[in-house]
Amino acid sequence: MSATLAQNRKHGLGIIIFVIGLIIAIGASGAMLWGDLPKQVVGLLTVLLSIVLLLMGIPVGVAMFGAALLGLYSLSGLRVVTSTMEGVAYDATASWSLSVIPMFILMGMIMWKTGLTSSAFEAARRWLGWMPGGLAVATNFAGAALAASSGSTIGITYALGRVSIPEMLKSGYHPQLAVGSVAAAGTLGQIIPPSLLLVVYAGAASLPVGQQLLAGVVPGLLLAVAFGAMIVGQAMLRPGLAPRVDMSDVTWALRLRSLLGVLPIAIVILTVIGGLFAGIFTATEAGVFGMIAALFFGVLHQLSSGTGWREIGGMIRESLIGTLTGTASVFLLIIGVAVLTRAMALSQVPNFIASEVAELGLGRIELLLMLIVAYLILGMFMDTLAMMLLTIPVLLGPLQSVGVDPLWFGVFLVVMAEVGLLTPPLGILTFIVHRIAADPEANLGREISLGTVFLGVLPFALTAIAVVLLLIFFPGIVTWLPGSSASL
Amino acid sequence: MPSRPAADLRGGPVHAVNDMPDRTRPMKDPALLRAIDRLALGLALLAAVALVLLALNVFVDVLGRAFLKQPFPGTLEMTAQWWMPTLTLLAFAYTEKRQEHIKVTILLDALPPRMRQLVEGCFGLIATALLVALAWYALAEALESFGYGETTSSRPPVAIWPFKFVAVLGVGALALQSAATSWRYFTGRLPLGAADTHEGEAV
Repeated sequence: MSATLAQNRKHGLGIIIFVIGLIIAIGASGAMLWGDLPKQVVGLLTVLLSIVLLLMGIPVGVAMFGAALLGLYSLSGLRVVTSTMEGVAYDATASWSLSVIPMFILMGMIMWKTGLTSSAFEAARRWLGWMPGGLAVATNFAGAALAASSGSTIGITYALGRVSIPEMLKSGYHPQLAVGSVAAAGTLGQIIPPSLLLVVYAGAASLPVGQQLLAGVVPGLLLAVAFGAMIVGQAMLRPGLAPRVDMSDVTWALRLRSLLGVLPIAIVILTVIGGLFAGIFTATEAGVFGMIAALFFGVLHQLSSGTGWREIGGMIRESLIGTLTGTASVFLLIIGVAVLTRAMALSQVPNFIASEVAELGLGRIELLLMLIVAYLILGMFMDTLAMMLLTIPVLLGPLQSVGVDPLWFGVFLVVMAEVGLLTPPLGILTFIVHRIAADPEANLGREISLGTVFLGVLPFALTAIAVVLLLIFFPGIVTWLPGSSASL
Repeated sequence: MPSRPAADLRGGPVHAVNDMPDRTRPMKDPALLRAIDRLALGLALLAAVALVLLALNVFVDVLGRAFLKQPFPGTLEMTAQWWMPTLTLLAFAYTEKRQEHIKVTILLDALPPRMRQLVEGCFGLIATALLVALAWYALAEALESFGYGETTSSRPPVAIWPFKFVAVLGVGALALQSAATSWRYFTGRLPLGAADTHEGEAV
């Protein structure tokens, strides 16, 4: 009875919010079509309409595309709308620098589907298990290693969660720490290159992809170390959270042997990041060679464990399908953003914000602190990519005018976006970890609520924000590596 | 939904959720819908070919550069102008069929089921209208490009105009598939099972 009551209340609230959204959308559209508004107002209405439409559930790319077309019409009339529509689908996709996206997705998919990723946790456990909170620390660094070899946050979370959550619970770890460390390890995926988000950012901000990827390396490692230190600190303060694991049966021979299992991962990392740093590869070339390395070792791994060619073919086919749908879903957004960027440029909203910021006398640090709060709020409701792509055309100009390095801002944005993956109510990564932990085989018959997962990720989200603050005060952490590389 | 034509590309039971068994869906999809689905699948196969060709093209280029001091001519242009539009745009419709385009479902989840279906159906129609317009103007551009045989300005020149038609095809098929999605919502064939969020699944 009370369940249906709660259901009804949820539906009632849903309908009310939906109708409000509809009214705002219609009002904004009407004002843009018939109102005689200053162009900055039209620009801001365009952004508002995009946000309302995508929150109502229109596919994000279509929402941005539709809102931006209205904005263009209001700003410059029908001719600009039609000339934009003529070229945008082809021009937005016909890009050399973004061609690294399908390759990175394919590489990650192959590593995941062929089971290359599954050895990472076991190796990390043997090496790091002795520490306080050792299994959670191992999860974290296994996540960092996987992040450096594949860009898939979700893939990493699945690969790690299925193995490490039951292992930690078996050893008496508090469920909060067990699920929190898995979700946090997943967030590393988009910061340490290869990272799709960094590539998409570089594309939207017209920056060199290779340098943007390298900019993520040091902050990503810093984040992994900060997560690790936080786990150790927690485990030392509250030993009940993570009882020491008996590692006496893990010999050095076992440890060394586990390295053999992660050798393929290491080679993929070296190919991609090493190749980029030394300037041997462009980003796309690094993606192709990383993918080929992943394919080679993945097939070898499966053959040596007795899998037939038929099944291996199935894995490759699944990887290809996942890559196509994943790439297509990203590029529909990129088309929407291309139109939105044009509308933003015509509306001069970025210039308007820049002059406002100057007038308020906000410096770089104050502005960035405000943005942390803004992105935390946006991240609660919006999809990661949508949040990034919607704000780049609006904010990049004003930020550069107060002396923010665009490469630096990319890393800032991706870290904030990843924090958004953890925070309620729309922390997608949290839902995924919850889903993994809902499997009785993973939770050992002990139910783990969504609330537990959210509580578990909280300390990690706070740690990530602390790292962001560090980046604000020491921007060189981000810009040093790309500056000293041979990458173009 | 016919499982036969789709079975070729689909990787076994993992995606079985998209092929709901007949017990929940006694009626077969109309012929038009099946044709749209087949078109989406066919285009996705072409996209897969382009994906493989992109990797091969770049691979051969690097090997040639390293060992023969002879890069593969036109790699950059072909990757950007041929393989990328083909592999992304031609996979649009198939991605829509599998309902894997990125959308935020937090509010939709809060609506009563029937209302959600109507709302999503209407959204599908709006999307269809926008996409038809996009395909129409892309066609105008493609015809113009064909008219003067557009190529890149590189040496050797690489033809661009055929792939402008690829854009028309990809966006047009997505418009059709989006209309099909609308119809599926209106007739209660979507959403399938438990609502899986697909936000940034690739990412």
